[in-house]
Amino acid sequence: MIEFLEVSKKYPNGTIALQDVSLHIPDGDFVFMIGPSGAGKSTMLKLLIREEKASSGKLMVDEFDLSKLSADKLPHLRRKVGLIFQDFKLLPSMTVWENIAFALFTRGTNDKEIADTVDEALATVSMSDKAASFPHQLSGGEMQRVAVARAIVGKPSVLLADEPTGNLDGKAAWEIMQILQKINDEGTTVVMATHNADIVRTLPHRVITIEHGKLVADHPTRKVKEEAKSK
Amino acid sequence: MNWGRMIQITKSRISRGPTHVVAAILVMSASFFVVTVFTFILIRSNIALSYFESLPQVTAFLKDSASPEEISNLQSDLQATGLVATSSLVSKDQALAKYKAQNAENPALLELVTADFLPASLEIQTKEIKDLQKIADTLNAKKGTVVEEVIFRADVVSNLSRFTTGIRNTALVLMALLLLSLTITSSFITGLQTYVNRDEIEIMRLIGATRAFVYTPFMLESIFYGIIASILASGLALGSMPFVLAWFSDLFKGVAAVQISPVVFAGIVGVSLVVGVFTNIIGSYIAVRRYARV
Repeated sequence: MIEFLEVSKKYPNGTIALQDVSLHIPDGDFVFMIGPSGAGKSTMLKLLIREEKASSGKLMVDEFDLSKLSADKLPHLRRKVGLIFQDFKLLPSMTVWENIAFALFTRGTNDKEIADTVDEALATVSMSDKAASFPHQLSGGEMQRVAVARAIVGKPSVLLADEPTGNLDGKAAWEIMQILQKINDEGTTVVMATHNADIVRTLPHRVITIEHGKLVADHPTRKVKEEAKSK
Repeated sequence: MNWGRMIQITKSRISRGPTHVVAAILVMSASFFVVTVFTFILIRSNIALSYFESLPQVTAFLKDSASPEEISNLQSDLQATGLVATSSLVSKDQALAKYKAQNAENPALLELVTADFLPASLEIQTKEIKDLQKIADTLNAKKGTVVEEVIFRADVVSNLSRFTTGIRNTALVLMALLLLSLTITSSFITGLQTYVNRDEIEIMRLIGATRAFVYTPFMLESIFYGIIASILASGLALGSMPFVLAWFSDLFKGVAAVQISPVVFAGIVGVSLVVGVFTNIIGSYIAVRRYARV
C-alpha cells in the first residue's frame, strides 16, 4: 500500500517538484505514472525510496511512515521496495548472477538461500542461460531483465520502475512489460513512470498524470471503468 | 555485522584494480617514508640541540679565604635547587694546569703565573639552559663571603636559547605540514578509490544495504593500504638508516652519540602506522559519505 497525503517537495534552490499530491495505491495495483519531463514523476519515485525527503505532507509505504523514518530503518524500507532504472545500473565488473546475488549478499542472506533465490529470479526473467555473462555482453533488453531480476530477488512488496523501457526498442520494451505484468499478477504492487504512450494505451492499468508537480488526472483501470459503466 | 561478507567485498575490490592498488600503496609508502625519516631526523636533531644547550656554564671564582667546608656547603646549596646538572670544583692547581695548557705557545705568560695567582672556581652546568641565570643570581648573592666573582655570558646564552627554540618550533611546524600533506594524500587516494566505486555505493544503498555494509569495506581497504604502505616505508627507512646515520655523524662530529635505538625506531614506525591508518580511515569515510548520501 502506498499513500500520499498532501505531499509537497521543494528543493533548496526553490524549485517546487511536487505540490500537495494526495494519492492512494492499494496492494497489488499496477499504476502508470505519466507526464512531461520535469513534471515530478521521478521525484515521486525518489520520495518512495526516501532518496529524497518530502518537504511536507505524509507518505506511507506499507507500515513505513517516510516522514518519520530513521536512517537505520531506511535499509528495511528499501528491501521492501524494488527499483528498476532506465539506465539499468548494473555493476559492470560482476556477472549477471553476481549482480542479482549482490542485492541479497549485502543483506546478509545465507549462501544457499542466495543461490536458490537468484536462480528463481533468473528463471522469472528468462535469463538463466546468461547467468555467467557480464553486462557488456548483453543487449539493452537483456540488461533490463537482469535489473528486474535484481529488483525482485528480495521479494519486495512494491516495485518502482523509472522509465524501464526508455532505452529499449519496441520488442524488448514489450518483453519487459510482460515480465512486470507477471510480477504484478503474483501480487507485487507496480508503479511505473513512463513516456511510452503505446504501452499506457494498450495495457488496462490505472494511469496517474502529473504536470508541474501536481496530480492532474487519475484514470482508473479499464476493469474498474467497465464495472462502473455496467452499473 | 557480517565481517566475512565485508572482507569478501574488500578483497574483490582490491583484486579488481591491481594497478590502482599498487599506485596507491606506492604513493602512500613514499609519504610515510618521508614522515618516518623526517621524524628520525627531528629526534636526532633534538638530541644534538640539547647537547649544545648543555655546554654553557656559570663560573664562580672563589675567595682564597673560602674554606673547603664553605665550598662544600655552597655546592650543596646549588644542588638543592634541583636545577644543576654538574658542579665541578676547579682547584688552584687544576686552574694553573688549564692555564698552562691554554697558553702553551706563549712561555712569557707562563713564567709570571703560579698556582697562588689563580683562584679556585666552581663550574656549574644546569639541566636546562634557561636556569643558568637563576644559578648566576644565587652565586652573585654569595659574593663577598665565599664567591669572589661570577662569570656568566647572559647574552650568548640568551642567543643560543633563542636559536634552539627557533629551530625546534620550525621543526614542529614542518612536521605538522608534513602530517597535513600525508592526510591530504591519503584522503585523495582513498577518495579516488571510492570515486571509482561510486556506482556500487549508490546501488548498495538503493537495494537496502546498511550504512555499515557500505562503509566498512572501504574502511578495511584503506586500513589495508595504510598497513602495507607503513611496512614498506619502515623497511625503506630501516634500509636508509646507515646513510642517514653517516650523514649525522659527519654533521655533528663528536657532539652527540647518534646510535639508533631500536625502541625509538619501533616507536617511529608505530606512530607512522597509526597515523597512516587513521588518516586513511578518515579520508575514506569522508569520500564514501559523499557518494552514500542516497
